[in-house]
Amino acid sequence: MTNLIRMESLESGIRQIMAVNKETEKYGLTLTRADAVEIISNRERILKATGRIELSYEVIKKFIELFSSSSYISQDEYASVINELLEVFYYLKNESNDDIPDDILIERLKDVFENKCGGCIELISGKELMYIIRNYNRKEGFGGEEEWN
Amino acid sequence: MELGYALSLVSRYKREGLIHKGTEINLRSQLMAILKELIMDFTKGESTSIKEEVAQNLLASICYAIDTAVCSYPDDKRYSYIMSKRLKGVYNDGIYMLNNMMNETKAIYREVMKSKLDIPLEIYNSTLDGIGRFFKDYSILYSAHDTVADIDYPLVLDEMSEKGLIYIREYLLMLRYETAFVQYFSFENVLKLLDLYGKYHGFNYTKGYFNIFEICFIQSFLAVLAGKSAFCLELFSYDLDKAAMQLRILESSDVDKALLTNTKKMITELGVEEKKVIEYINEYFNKAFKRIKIACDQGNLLELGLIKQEESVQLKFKDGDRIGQKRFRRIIAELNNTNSIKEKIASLKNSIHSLKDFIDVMEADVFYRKEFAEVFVALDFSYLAILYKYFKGRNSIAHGDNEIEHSEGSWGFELMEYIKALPANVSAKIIELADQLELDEDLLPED
Repeated sequence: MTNLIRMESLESGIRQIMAVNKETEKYGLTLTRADAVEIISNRERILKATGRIELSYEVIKKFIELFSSSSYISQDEYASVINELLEVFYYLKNESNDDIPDDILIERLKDVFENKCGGCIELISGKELMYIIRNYNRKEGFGGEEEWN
Repeated sequence: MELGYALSLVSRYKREGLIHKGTEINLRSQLMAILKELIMDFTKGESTSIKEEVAQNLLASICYAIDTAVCSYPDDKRYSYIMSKRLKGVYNDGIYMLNNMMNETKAIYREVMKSKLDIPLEIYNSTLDGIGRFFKDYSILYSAHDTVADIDYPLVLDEMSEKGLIYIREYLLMLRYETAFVQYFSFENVLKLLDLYGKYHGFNYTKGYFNIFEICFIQSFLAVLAGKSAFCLELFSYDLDKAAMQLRILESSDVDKALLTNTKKMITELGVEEKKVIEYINEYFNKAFKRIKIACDQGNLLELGLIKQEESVQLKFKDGDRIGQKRFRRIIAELNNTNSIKEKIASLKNSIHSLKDFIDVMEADVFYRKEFAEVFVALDFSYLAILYKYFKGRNSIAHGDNEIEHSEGSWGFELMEYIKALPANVSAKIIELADQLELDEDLLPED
């Protein structure tokens, strides 16, 4: 049954991802077809590794849309940053037991990336990830300041 | 109905070359679209990804609804139904059917609870409670295939491969038929039978794992076979011997007919009228036939039924305390001075508590001949049996076993006449009781 679920349309995904270029090119960032294939394939690997299923490309599109305005991402590293962010994202979804909605988590990651880690993806790991999970309150969202070293 | 029946049907058609591969792929895409929508619904639109096991569960639920709709059609119409409606339409039909089935199942449950057997059998009661919780925990959308209930109480025909709501519905229907059958018997007799069953198997029946219908069926079946009433759940070894004897004289094929006729006779005698209950009983009989037949062929009906041990034939009589000589003489004087037989009997009952003293009073000439009968009327059967035993015992010492002392006016003679004059079944009962009695030798007055 898992194989049945994983039979998604690759071409549809590529088209959807490429379509977001219209929004992101104003920030000087675009993804090639090869980038889109790599991102989709990377997502598949991450989903398999984390034991998750996703039947749409909404998360990928949201990451692309939100992070394209980052002042820390250059065209060279654009696709690889998206790939790394996806890895963090699905890991956090599991660790939080799916308690944090997609949009809120993506926004939180953007906030951490931009304002706490200076655009350095390697800094979003370990303790910082736990802060994200622990500090989320369903009623208040991420209210209050986390403690940072 | 196996899970994914509709999908496997499509795969089979593709293997047989009846449909194109593209059609199958198209159907799978339709299925994924339904799953995608359900994931969004499940996560309240907050997440597009879920854990694999959750997704598998949702997919199984979707397939259950689809299969419910598809299987409501005859075999040869199922594929065309899927093609004409598209999978989403079939799924919606399935959800609609399951919602209706849920209402129907709840109604059956209410019926079962109203007529539930008031028996302290733990698995029976906990299963019914569990089914009650099922209705709260069950989700037609997200886990239609799940039988989220602990169903421990075994039914006699529960070999279903069904799951989810369909299983619960079928289970409750069968439980209703079984309950209806058991209710033809007296509640006290059913409890006694279950208690006997527990003792026979060496456990407290309230904690046992067995089926009440089956035990009652077999017992009633054997009762009818033994020529007893179908309502009778109490059997003795001689009943089974009688039943076995009846069958022994028949040819093998006639035994089969006799067993079948026996079931019909049982059903008729109990007055079972509901068609579904009768069908259920017959279906169980067909299932149990082999086991019953083997026991009959081997002449060992003890393998099937439960027998009650015959009560001990030795009833010990313990005499009461004797009164002293002085007091005895005073009582005799009072009785002699009393004209009213009622007063004499009252005085006798209040003052005399020992058989020896009673016999001595009987022999003290304080009662006239006709008064003896009134004394005997005031005694219960067991006391009459004791007197009978005593008198016969004394008489056999004096005259041998075959003669009774003919002394008209003596209490012994009057006792025999009195017992003879009673209705036949009553006098037989007294004599039977006397036969079971054992009197100590020291209870016999010295001649």
